[in-house]
Amino acid sequence: MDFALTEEQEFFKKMVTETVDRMVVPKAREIDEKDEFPWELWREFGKLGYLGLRYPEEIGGMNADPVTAMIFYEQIARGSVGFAQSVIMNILMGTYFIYRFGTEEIKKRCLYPAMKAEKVATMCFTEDQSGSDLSATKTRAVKDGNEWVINGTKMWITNGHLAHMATVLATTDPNLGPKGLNFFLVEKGTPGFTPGQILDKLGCRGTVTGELVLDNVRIPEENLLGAEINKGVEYLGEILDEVRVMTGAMALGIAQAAYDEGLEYARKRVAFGKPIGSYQLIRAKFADMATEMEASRLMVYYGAWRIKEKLSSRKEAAMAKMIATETCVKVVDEVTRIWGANGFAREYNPQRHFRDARFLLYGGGTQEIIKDFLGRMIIGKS
Amino acid sequence: MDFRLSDDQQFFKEQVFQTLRRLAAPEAESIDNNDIFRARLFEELGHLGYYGIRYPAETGGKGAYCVTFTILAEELAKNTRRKPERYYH
Repeated sequence: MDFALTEEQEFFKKMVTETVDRMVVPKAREIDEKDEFPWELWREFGKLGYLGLRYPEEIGGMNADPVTAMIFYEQIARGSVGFAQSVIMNILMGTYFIYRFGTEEIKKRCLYPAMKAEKVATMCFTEDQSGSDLSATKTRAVKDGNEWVINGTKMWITNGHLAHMATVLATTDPNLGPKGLNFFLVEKGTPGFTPGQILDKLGCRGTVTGELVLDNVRIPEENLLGAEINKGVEYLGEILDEVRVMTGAMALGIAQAAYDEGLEYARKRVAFGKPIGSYQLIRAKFADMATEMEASRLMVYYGAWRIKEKLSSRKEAAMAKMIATETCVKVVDEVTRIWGANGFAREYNPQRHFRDARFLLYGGGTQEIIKDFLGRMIIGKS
Repeated sequence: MDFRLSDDQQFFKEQVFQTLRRLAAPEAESIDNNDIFRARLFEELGHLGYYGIRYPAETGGKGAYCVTFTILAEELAKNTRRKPERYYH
């Protein structure tokens, strides 16, 4: 048993932490307030190579193992979760199926530029009536000669309006439920593929989230991202656990950012002649927060380690997402209380963390779906 | 990073589980009901070397600190209950 990071991982952690402190933290407030995509920061992260985090060195990636990747996800979310969402979309969900199944031509056009931040990627799962319940997907793909014709509307799409490429989830036959699902690559500029409404969100501002409309979109046969047809759910299984643990890692990042603000305030702010951190009720909050964050961190890295070791990780990944997210929501709440009325002021950061944390309750599968799934795994299907 | 138990730790865990299931579990209900210290059970666990587990081998212990000791603590608490059961995973 060895809980330590390797020397390489420690070095990477130090490097990413410094990068986030220097480049992201000072811009986080502006990103949130303006709710604009930080293009300059994006390009800088591209130059540093972070957008190719998970992919092999041969194609220009960093070849990070899942544990190392979690270090990155945690740190970037600590800086700005809006920016983190956009970056992680390019690193993981928005490019994985292109990396896995794209032809060399497609990779040259989409994957390699996305790894350098020259292009923005997204994945389109959610619709207005389906999200965690993927089998209810209505977007339809119909084969016509050697082309696919896609019709549907996607909602809650991270990077949606900016994306140069979208991995679109669509069914070949709604009657097949999850067994009819596939991923298709649709590129910006394809006739019929247009942006719709942009969502005005409570938190995670700075990443553009919106609607994408597919109206008789025709794409070539090779844009089906899969070795076989109707195996989409199986392919999704290849990254599902990583996505869930990643959501937990982002939760850790937000929690840490809020906790650090809370700690500084508790030590400085004086009430009744003493720093508020000297009062038992405030100290108890830190004992709880620190313990729960440590427990969450262990589960997140345990999940990542299991993925790395190719051990079964479905249950552990769901647990990690669940505990880290709940801990995060609790920590950001406690920190706004520690800050008193100042925690309610737009002038300070605690309210931003408070708003940002909420999204993790739904992103990567709602807590309710995750809990139900876990309960079924433990008790057994009835 | 490696969350696995070593082979030795895994072996020890299984051994403690089997031992306690045989020696302690059948008495668990009576210990609770009668609130009596079971000196023989206490001694038997001593013969197995459990009390020296944290101390160096040179002094007759096992030098097993601190993961192995934690395994013993968990197994002891678990398998001296009424019904010994493996954790679900």
